[in-house]
Amino acid sequence: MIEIRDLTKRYGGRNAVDSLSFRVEPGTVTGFLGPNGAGKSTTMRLLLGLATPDRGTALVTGRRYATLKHPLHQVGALLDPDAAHPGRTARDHLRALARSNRIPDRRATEVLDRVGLAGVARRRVGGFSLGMKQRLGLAAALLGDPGVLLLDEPVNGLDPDGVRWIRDLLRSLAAEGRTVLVSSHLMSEMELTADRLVVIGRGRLVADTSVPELVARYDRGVVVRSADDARLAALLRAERATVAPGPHGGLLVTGLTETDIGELAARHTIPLYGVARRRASLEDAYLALTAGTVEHRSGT
Amino acid sequence: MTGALSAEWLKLRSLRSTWYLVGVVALATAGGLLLSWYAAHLWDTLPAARRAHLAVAPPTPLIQPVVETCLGILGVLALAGEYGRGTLRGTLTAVPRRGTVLAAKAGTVAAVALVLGLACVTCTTLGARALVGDRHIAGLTGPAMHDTPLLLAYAGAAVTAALLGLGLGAVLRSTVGAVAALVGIVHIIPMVVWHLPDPAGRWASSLVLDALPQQLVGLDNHNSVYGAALAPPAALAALLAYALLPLAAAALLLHRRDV
Repeated sequence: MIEIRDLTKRYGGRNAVDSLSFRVEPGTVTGFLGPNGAGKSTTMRLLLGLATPDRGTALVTGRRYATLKHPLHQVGALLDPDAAHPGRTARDHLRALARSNRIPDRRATEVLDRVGLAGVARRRVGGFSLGMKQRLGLAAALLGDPGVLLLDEPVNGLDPDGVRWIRDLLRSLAAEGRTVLVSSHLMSEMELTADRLVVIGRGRLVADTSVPELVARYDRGVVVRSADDARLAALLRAERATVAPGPHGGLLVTGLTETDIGELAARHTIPLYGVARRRASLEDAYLALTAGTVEHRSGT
Repeated sequence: MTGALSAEWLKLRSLRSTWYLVGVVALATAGGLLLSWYAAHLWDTLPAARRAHLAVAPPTPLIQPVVETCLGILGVLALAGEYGRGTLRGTLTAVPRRGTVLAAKAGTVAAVALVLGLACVTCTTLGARALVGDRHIAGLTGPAMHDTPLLLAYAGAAVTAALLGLGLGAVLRSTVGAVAALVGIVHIIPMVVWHLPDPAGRWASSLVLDALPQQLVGLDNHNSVYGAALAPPAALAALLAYALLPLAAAALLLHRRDV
């Protein structure tokens, strides 16, 4: 469980994180979304006790992170793919982390195996690709078999194979009852991976919702094509639906479900050629949500 | 704490830079021995009348600045080497108590410096004694070379340099900056202060790190540009100040700063 209450952090006269409150429940993958500079990484660093908040609290498993004795047993974190010293081997990097938390050395080998780096365990990290460094960072996060995982942009630099692998890994970790908070700016990826979404912009909470709810909020209605659009439109309006011309012909109906429309048409024997809900993608919903909060907008 | 110590020890020995620095210390030691061998060789070739005038610099204090610099850099790398990269974040995520991390780093660096410092003075002293044998060469034989407390004082100065490097690295958060500061304190300031007019020059040059081991055991810094104005307790206080003041500042800043 992760609990953030009224969290505020000021950097250089502006609030990087501003009165932020949300909870992350066990057994779910929670996507942590926001434009660049929205405060995602700062929030993660506040959670891990690496930075001190100006106000508010950030708790993991009910406690402040800094008060945990051997935290790797409870919380695994991936912050920065360059966290390992380039001159050290992958295995030594993990063994040093393991020893600081009284984790047996063999766990280093086990997690390297789990993330697919067993073959390069004795190679220096300096020669690793970004994708390999991300995998090593995940191995470090999994080292203590923690119940809570905090992952900052873990899919950066991974190839499509790696992206799918990490998606399956996160799903299986949540299925084991763990709390998984994963930040990203790749909406399409989060749509496939996350159960819940926490969206922030300029350090403030913009949305705390499930993926279907967020998409539903930006529902754009149902497109209907029929043998007699004019008559159907009149019937739909009589059912208090809003009807507009469809984008490529047909009707755009809001306020009725596909089932309602189909049954109405059947009662009046109007043949239907197509009924399709126009779903906003998560990306559309996200862009609509964060429209006012983007830090660095391009000139065009 | 034992976990943090074990982790820091593994981190120290799993980096090539550590072994490069050990290599330089070993080379300096070999250089010191070579000098003793050359002095013995020279003594043999001299006519008996001139042998009494042969004097060479004792190898231990001669290579001491090299040893101090190497161990100081070892200290710098232990912490400043983790800033700049995200490595320190990983370290502090694993061990959130920052005082524990600093103490573990100080413990391992000091232990390594003590072992290397002792090995170095033992090699140069015993080596010189074996090479010189029963020849009488000023600098290589005589009380200074057989004084165990003095040799321990040199090892202590080596440990001090390592902790100084660690403290500077933590305060400055930059490897380059900390190494520059270290070289300034160990090499540049000593070159400047003995040019100062007395009595300021005498006092300032007594406080130079390299001048402390001799004063620590109550020896005069004869044949040296450094002063010897400090009594042994004062010299010990100065040595401790070199090691502990930057470390205390480091502890305070590490506790306060965000990483």
